[in-house]
Amino acid sequence: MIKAGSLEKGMAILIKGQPYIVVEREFVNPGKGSAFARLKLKSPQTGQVLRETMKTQDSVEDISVDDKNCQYLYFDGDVYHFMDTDTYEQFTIPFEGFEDKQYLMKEGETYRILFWDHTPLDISMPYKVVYEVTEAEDAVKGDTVTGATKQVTLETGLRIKVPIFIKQGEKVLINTETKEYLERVNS
Amino acid sequence: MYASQLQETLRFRAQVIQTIRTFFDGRDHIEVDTPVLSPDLIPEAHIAPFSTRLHHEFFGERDLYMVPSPEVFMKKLIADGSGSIYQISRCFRNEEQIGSLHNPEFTMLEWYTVNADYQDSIIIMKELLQALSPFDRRGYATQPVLQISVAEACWKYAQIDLERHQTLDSIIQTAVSLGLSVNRSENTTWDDVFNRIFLTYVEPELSADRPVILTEFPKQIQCLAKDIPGTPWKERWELYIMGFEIANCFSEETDGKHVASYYQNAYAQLEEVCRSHGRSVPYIDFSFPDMYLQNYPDCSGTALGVDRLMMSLLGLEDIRGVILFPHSDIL
Repeated sequence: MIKAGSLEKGMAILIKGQPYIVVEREFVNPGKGSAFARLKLKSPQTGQVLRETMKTQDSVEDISVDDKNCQYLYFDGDVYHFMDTDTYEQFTIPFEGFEDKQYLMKEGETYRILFWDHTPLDISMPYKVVYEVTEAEDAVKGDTVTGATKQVTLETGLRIKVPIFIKQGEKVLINTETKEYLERVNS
Repeated sequence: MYASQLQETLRFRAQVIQTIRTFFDGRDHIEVDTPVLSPDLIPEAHIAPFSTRLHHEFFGERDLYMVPSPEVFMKKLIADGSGSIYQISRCFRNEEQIGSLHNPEFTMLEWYTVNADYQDSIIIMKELLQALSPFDRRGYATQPVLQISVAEACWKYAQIDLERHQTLDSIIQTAVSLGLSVNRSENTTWDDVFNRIFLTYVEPELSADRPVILTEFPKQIQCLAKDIPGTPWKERWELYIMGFEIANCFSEETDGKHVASYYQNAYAQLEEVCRSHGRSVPYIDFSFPDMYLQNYPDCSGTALGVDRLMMSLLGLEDIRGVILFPHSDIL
């Protein structure tokens, strides 16, 4: 058990017997009230988002989870295929609950996966990742307005907005949480 | 921070505070400055004070508290016949988060208007927001104010008829049916369950792009506001801008017996909270309610977080953008 006030983003807890990941946590002190932790919880299995508020002094059941390094193999349209890099055992993770990972994960890359028993709860992405731009239109000539952007497609299929000077084949650094362009990477 | 940006922040703070002073000076409120170090506090279970120690050959060894709000002294001034007063002062709260909405010390505007109630204070609040319109960079703070009661907001955003759920069993059932995991234990209180519902389903829905004045709070949240007879509500409102709490106002309780019973109940709760957090109970002066026994004037008091008001004027979501040396940086 853990105090709700000690919860942090990314921790796993049980609510009515179901595992949830804390995706947002904010402290609120209502006028004339005790301190509360306002939470947004996500069920890794169903993707369902649950809103919950608890007194920071309330106890919640945290679950022990472990991290494993796993290599992402491919997505077959229904499930993601992975391999445990310690045991070489292959397994799958459902698309539901991990939809946002489809265009972020690179085949062949190793990611840390959070397991509760044998249930994968979260695939953690580095905060910043370098991707290659695989499709980019040429900038329109004369378009020199500062801050002008265009759409490009990255190696994983992710489409994002980048400054107009970015060309096909170049590498860019992306914030995986916001899916936003950070900077050009010189190779 | 660049010098020009720093100067802009300094000037903004100074001008907002100057505008607040001019506003109240022009409305017959006298500016006062009461002590920061107090030997006693009004009991509030959920506020942890900063305390310090006096060493003196005559007064001896005593705990002094850095006021979490200047109300303890301002209410005494009203009792002594000050008339309407206001104060812009530093207040201190321990054990709160230090971050985007909280700092252990902050600037509070507190004003008391005699021969007035909470409705009169709404008018003053709206006029003050108008007076600050030259500083409203984003246009949030000076939009027409949405006024809605707690009961109406609960109905509108969570489809709960709060008036019908005044017992602990009933509010727990409501919370569970909304999807909260509430387990009844011996120290589960109505106001905690209400707050969980309110903070989860109602407060996040309050309009962020215009000020909201939320009126008539439940009686079961103990405070020194007057009851509205025959209803489960109190004469109290709170101002929200950009979705966060900026001000809290009461028609002040002036019945000495009611103030004394607040002191008893709030003290019991305070003792319980201090025991469970392992901290000592601050000194409470139980003779404080006596001053209400002799014709205490009707009045309404409002406490407003000046730093948060500045955030809303600038459209900032982080208090550290308006505080000069936020404690998250200097600690």
